[in-house]
Amino acid sequence: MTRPSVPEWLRQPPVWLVLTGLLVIWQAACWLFEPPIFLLPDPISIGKALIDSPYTYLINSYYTAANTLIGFALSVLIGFALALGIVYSRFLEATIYTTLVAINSMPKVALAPLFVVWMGTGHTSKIAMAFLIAIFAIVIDAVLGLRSLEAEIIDLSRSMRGSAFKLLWKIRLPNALPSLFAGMKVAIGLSLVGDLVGEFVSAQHGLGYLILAAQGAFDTPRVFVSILLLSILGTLLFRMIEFVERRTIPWHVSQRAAAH
Amino acid sequence: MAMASSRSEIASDRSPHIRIQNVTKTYASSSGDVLALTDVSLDIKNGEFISLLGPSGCGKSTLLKLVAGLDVATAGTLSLAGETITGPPAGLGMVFQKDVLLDWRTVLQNVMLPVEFQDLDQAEYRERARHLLKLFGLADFLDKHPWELSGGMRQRVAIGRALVTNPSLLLMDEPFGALDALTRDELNLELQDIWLRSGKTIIFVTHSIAEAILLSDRVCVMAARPGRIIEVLDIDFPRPRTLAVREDPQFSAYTRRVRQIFESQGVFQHDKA
Repeated sequence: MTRPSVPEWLRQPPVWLVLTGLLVIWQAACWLFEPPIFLLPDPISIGKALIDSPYTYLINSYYTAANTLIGFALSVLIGFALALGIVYSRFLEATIYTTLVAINSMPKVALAPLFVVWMGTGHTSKIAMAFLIAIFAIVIDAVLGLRSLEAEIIDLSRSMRGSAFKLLWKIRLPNALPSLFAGMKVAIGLSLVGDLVGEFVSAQHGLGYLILAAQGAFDTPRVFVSILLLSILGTLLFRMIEFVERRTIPWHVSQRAAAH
Repeated sequence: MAMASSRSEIASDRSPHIRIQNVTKTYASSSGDVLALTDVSLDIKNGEFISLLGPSGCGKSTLLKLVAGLDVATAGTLSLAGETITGPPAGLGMVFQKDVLLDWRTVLQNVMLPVEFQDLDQAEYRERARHLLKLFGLADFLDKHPWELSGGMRQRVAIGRALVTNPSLLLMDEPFGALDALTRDELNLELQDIWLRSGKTIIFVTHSIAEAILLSDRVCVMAARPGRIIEVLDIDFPRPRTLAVREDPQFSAYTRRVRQIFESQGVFQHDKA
């Protein structure tokens, strides 16, 4: 019984307290050791950089978010369609699936310069990168989900003399949703990386573009603001998928604790 | 037992409902063909409760699948009401050892699944589904999800699902095999009730000797390697039967007979060579 003297907030401190504590230590260290600002800016300078031009950050966050979401949405739509084809057709399994595995085993980042040549320096090449880097996770998890049916369920469905479409619509699809959401949660983060890579290669908009522009001017506080916004954006996108998941599959094992 | 005699008369008056003639089934495996069933013949009367009883590997589930039209015999023929079985026939209900309820559907929606699959009138059958679930003591659980139910309740829902379209043939593949002994007794009696009231033909796969004798008009005792029917026992107890029938000397006699058959087939041998 030596523990009761430690207060609750210290044994399990809230997230905001931990983050604030880290910022305070960071700020104190910068005051104490005075590193050059282009090497390690202090939190207050970073905050100032954000407040100086909020509209720039807002509009460029919007571009990055939009390209990421469009690429992600395309990867879900096309990836799921491909997964259906792979599950229902041996021919497509032998062709598309093999091709996808081959494409996935090469570093897709290396394709970004090529996409700029093909699609220009506009949004299309970023959307294409966000799409390409995410689709594999969608296809793999969707195929897994669509295939994960117990033999008895197939027997049951056949004994009820329903059409193949009924089996797909009423059993196979809902049964695949948990797995599809797992794929989407991985894919959304990958899409953001894909879009950033596209912006690094060549862009006039987006947080990736801001990072490159600020780095060229040795304006490190602005680089930090962009990184901060990227991590906020990534978190929001992930939470968004979780939000939809909770509402779509409240019946799944992973969601029950939250629902009740 | 007036009820008993009238029942058995109904059953014996009819011509065979299901006719299984010289059926053989082999499966291809990596170590060559496996003979799952060899030369099985059996006539099942309309409205009969018949059990397929045997150790694992005796082909009882395989035989059930052949009757269900879910698999095709390698040789021999199966027919239902005079028509060769080529696929799942109309008026078929199935119950498996796993309840295979769909987690995203409520209890009522799970029972309604066959109605949706067969595009039947939803409003009409929803009443029947509610009635069945009430019969099973699940009236308060219509809108619950399967994971909120006990094993026995889940299997009741699965039986409700098999019965909702009022099929004339009910095939049950070790339906109570995963339940505890008390729940199993309870469901055995409930199944007998349903059968007595509805006059369905029931083929019941089990590896429990007591369960088979308690429920069945006839018990097909099967053996493995190769899967075949050794003997068909007539179980002559009046209906409705209660659990007390298990203490009847005749019940022991049936049990002994089945055990002797199994022993002669080496089922209970302890030394695993």
